[in-house]
Amino acid sequence: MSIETFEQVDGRRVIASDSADTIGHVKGFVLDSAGRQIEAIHVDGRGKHALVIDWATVTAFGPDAVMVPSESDRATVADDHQQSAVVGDVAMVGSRVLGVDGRGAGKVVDAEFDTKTGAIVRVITDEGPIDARRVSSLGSYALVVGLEEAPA
Amino acid sequence: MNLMRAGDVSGLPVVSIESGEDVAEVRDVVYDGEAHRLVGFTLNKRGFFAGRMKSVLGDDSVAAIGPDAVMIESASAIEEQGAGPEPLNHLGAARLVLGNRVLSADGSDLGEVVAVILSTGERPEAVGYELKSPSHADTSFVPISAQMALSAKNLIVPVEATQFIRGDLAGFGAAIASYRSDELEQQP
Repeated sequence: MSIETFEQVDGRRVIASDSADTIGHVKGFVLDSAGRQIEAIHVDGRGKHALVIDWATVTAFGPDAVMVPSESDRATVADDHQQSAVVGDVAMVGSRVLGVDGRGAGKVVDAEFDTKTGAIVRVITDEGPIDARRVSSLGSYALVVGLEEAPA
Repeated sequence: MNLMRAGDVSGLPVVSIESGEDVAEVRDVVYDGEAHRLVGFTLNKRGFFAGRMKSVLGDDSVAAIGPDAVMIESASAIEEQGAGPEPLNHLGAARLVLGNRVLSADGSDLGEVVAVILSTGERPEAVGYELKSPSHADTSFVPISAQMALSAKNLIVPVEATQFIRGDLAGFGAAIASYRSDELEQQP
């Protein structure tokens, strides 16, 4: 398992294996609404013209480049959920953190993910790291997290 | 026990745990003065064109109240007006308590009710009243008791509850916790 952070991979080249062309750069991520899994990578364009690549089509998320089979794997945003992610309405980094008890817990500054699976491992906030298993949801208002287990 | 003035809940966002979306904003707290019970919340829409929502949020649909948000499990916790519990449609009754004089059962004037105090966290409920003393110099907090008698103008506090009156909200939180455990022990 190889772990990297959103900040570390920001701007990394995205390369099509069939043509060896650079077809974009990592600009951001579309996460599932549970906030635990990368669904797609935003690689080029903005707003309505944003191009994303489904995580499932990525053949390797390498230390120097993200490999995908072909340029044709890029697509415009498929739905409102992807749209709200690429325009930044729903974004992990910068999101407010809210406990299920209705108490604010800082802001997200970065997130660690598994480059093999795209699973979020830890969320880094300005008040400390949060295990991704505590995350309930990521929406336009907040990243909602469950309470910390009381130490045994 | 963490406590909050009911009025401070107004304006808080209502956030879905399932989606992380702010589905509404608390407009007003609905309180049943006769039963001394938190009933629920009326809501406003969020955003620039915030207007009143027809939907209401019943007390039992609230997952938690915190200093920064009212949490609900999902957007379906918000009911269309009419479907909610009965007192939600009769806001007038909720205002009965504010402004009432509070007397102890042994005849002392403790002051006037200026706020309803809620417990926060899971299963929020009304636990006390904030009082302004007759001279208006001091604030105190008195626990809500099942034995309270309420008329149109007065509220009578049983003697055993008066020892749990505190001058500050943090101290009152601790007092409420012990008052509640006392009450439980006394039940047969």
